Amino acid sequence: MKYLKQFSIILAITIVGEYCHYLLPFPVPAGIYGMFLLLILLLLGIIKFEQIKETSLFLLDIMPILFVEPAVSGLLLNGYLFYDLWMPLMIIILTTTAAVIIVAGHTTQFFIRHGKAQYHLKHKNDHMMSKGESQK
Amino acid sequence: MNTGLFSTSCFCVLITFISYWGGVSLKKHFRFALFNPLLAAIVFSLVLITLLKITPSDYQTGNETLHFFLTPATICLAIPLYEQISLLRNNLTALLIGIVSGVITNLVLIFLLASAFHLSRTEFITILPKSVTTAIGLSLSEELGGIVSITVLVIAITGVLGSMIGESICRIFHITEPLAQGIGIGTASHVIGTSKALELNPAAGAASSLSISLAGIITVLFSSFTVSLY
Repeated sequence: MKYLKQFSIILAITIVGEYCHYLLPFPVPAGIYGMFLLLILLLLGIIKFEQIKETSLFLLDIMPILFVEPAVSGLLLNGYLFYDLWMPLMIIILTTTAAVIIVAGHTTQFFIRHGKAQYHLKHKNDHMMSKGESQK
Repeated sequence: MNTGLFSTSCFCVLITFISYWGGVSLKKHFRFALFNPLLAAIVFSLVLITLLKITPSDYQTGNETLHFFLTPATICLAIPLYEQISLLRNNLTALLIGIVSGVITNLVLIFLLASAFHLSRTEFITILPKSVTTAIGLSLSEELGGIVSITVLVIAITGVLGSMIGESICRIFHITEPLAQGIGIGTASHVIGTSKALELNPAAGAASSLSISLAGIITVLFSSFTVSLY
């Protein structure tokens, strides 16, 4: 019964997400609405993590398997549209994907470290006063 | 004769499972960073379908059972977000700047490379949503006038590629903060990359989950402007 209850909660949120997708004029998929809805419900404590734990971890675990079929079907059914263009498209996909990981990753890393440095500078005096007290 | 047993839903799902399982066990045997279980599963599935003479549409219909789980699974990406919420909140500015920088890099590079390869306007629009999650990219391509079926394929290839090279790129370019790795992989390769980031580190998974939705929305906002320039 545990799994039945857990999956029912997740399905109910899926339905609300799909309804939002249907009603609202934005190109946002049902899964994204649902994700934020579940996050808010968890943060407000309306749903406890324990109430969906096993089922949600199972779904997260099998997620990569769910991408096999769309990719295979896409290649088989529409791959021919790709023939004349595959060289430039592959070059564009490879370069941009690598570049985005590098730029987004490094920008984030820079600002995380920058933020930490400023935080430490600001709280340096407090730390020195309460030395030993708040050490991890 | 082959249309009987081999085309049933159970059999098609089994092909997907066995292919993925094969990919994962191969990954265990030789630990080569670029080897990706998802890519291996796609290749194995293609081989099995061809050998057993299953038609692509039968395979697609057969796997609808699995497809059903995609939205509920995406919703569960709220779990890593929830578990890491204080870490995300403390670094929110850095994460937002990172995502915006990634989206802009993506759009500018696609623009430049598409011009360099003399792609038509339709082709440019078709590949523009390559880094956003399929459901967002699909409607974006449709709205701006791209070829939706190629867009879906390009998005899938980007995702698989991102989950393949993400870890190595982070290592080579010294992106060591887990949150930064997650933002990079998630902004570049949406849900498929995120499922990889979740394996790397919980914080990376959370940052990646966050960037799927935000990168998608920011791409939508910037796209029509980028297209008007092409």
